[in-house]
Amino acid sequence: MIDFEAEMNEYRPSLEVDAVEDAIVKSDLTDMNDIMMGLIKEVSKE
Amino acid sequence: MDYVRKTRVIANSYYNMGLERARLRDLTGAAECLKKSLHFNKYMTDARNLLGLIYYEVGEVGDALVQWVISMNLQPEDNRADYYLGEIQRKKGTMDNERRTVRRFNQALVYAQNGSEDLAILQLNKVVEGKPGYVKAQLLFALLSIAREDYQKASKAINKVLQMDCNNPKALYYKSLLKTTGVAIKPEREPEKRKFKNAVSHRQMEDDDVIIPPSYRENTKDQAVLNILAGLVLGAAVIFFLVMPAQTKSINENHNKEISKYSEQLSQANKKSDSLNDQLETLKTEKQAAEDSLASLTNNADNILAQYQAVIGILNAYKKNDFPTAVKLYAGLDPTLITAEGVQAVIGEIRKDMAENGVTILEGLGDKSMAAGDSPTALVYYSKCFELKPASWQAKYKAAVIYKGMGQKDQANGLFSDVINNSKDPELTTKAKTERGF
Repeated sequence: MIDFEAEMNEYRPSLEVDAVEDAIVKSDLTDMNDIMMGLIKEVSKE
Repeated sequence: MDYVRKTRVIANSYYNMGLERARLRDLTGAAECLKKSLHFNKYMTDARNLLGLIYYEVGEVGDALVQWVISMNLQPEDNRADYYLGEIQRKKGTMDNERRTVRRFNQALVYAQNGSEDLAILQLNKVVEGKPGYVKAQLLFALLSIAREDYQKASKAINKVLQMDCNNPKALYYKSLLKTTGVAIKPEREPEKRKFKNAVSHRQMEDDDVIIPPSYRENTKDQAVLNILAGLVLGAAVIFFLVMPAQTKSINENHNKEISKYSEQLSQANKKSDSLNDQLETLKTEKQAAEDSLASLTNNADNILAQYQAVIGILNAYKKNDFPTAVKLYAGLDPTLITAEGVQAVIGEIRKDMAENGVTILEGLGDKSMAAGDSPTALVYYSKCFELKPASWQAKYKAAVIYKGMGQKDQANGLFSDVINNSKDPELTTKAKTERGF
């Protein structure tokens, strides 16, 4: 049978329209290319 | 450089996978693929725009805006996200509605997580009515409905979600739970079938449908004015020919009834007036008779009183030995008005005395009156003389002359004849004959 409480806690609030700017600022835009470039830079330094 | 190329290829593959799933309405799976695509290449604008579109489709407007704004920042030119953002901002009130809907859902979630399920359902009802494609709201509504064992509503909400996102894991989970409870979930009709049904022109008529005949055409302004004028004329004719005669007849009948009523009242009033006039005449006559009677009674009383006073005066004069005054008073006395026997006896004594001693005085008083030109008074004295003493021929002659002068021939001739026949006084008889006209 369904666990109502557990199920309910899985729900997250939707992003409010007024909070879009903050969400954009906090967005992590790092992609695989950025990660690889970072690794290459670290290896080059060593 | 090889890494860069490889990551681009992987990102592109995930994008293609996401696009394919999106076309199959597997939005959850598509979103996962697109997110992976962006993990490999954040400049994958199409993947980001499609991810924003999927968010927008499932009601997550905030997440969609985030993706489209970032997309525009990463690629300001020739970006489809520009169109999406413009569409949302172009329609007035769209953004406000979206904002309110999201807030309402979040509020409902707070209610639900705090145990206020009734309030949560109220809010969610409003949310899904306004925005049926809001997947998260439908799922929460389905969950709350299942908790309240309202499986029909839950089933309906789940179906809506699966229609939007056919592989939504929560929806599939709830659907499986409903199956265990034995509730049959009716599948939604295929969109193509709906389209086909709407495309068929022969459909069942609704109550609000209006059948417009082929001959119908809109009136111009002139036609409208003419129609109004024609209506006014027709209305006036109806009033003149149908309403007015009936009205006039009714008014005339009412007037006739009123006139008849007034005539009857007038007739009754006239009868009453005549009766009152008759009564008035009768009363006037009775009044006159009563007044006359009263006057007569008053005069008689006065006369009677005067006679008694005259008797008293005569007695007083006797008492004072003033015989001429007594004679004078006796001349005015009318003994017939006195009824008292005692007084009559007194009058009888006075009469005897007057007949013996008062005649000469009475005749002298008559002569004085004649000398003064008062013939009526003189006639009274002379008449009293021959009343007391019938042989008073001089007094009779003088009275006859007065009667003659007054035009009373019968009285005068009677007295003259008496003097001529009975006086035995040749001189007086001659005079009488002369006066008598013999």
